[in-house]
Amino acid sequence: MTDDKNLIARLKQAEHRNEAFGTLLKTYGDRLYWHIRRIVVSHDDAEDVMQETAVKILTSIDGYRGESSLLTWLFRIATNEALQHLRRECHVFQSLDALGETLAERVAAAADVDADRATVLFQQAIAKLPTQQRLAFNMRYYDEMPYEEMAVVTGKTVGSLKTNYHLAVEKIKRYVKENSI
Amino acid sequence: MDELMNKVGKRLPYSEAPQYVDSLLEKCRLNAIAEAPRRKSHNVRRLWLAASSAAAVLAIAATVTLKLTLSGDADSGKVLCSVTSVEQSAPLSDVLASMSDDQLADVSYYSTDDIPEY
Repeated sequence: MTDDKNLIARLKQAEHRNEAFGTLLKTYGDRLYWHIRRIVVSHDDAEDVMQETAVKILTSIDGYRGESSLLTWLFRIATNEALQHLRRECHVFQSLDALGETLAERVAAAADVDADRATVLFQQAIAKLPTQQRLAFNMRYYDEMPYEEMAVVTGKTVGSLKTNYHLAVEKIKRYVKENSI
Repeated sequence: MDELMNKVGKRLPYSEAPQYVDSLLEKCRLNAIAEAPRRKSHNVRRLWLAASSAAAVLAIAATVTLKLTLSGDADSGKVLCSVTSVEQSAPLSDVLASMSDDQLADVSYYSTDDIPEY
């Protein structure tokens, strides 16, 4: 946490900004990339969103007041950028939730040649979840984020996130059961 | 589910070479450093544009409202005027009493030709 404070202080100073930004990406970049990748699924989309996220971080750092942890703030930017990217793929008046099938297809397309069927099936089940449930599941299961921090990232209440996580688990179970060979 | 989670764990079906993410992050760093100042000035320009547009819309709205209010006052003034003139006009009996016999004859006897749209 002290390291974060020091990092933020340096990010806010013009003369140290570039070097501190490098440190920030080295520290959190990998987690941010995989968080984005799990939302948008495709390799190319994740690269675009990561680029945009990096620019947003650098242009918004002066506005960061330290009310939430640095990682939570970074996740919030990355999540917003990833969802924004997906929204561009939606037709007018189409909900993000309608992209489930497309994302599930992308999981199959992006899967490594040696990926086992259970892993693909599990990821497809997650891809087909409604967006809020998918976000809640990913942040809880993969990033092991406390619900309070997830609430800051998504702007939802802890109660609704717990419900979304629970619903996500139930739906994944059902999907896997129905589609297992 | 627990069995599946134990089997799959946190593995993803897709992966990237270890150097890939590092090189991507370096690319992002360089791009963001180059792009951020441009983006900031662009944001300031957009803010100015939004503020000046809002000010222009407000000015137009204020002008239209003022004009409507003024014309509304004028209209209500006209109505008040006509109402006042009716109230202040003399009773019909006084008007008739003040008229000469010839004038009364003109009022009493008329032809339908005198009424334009009859």
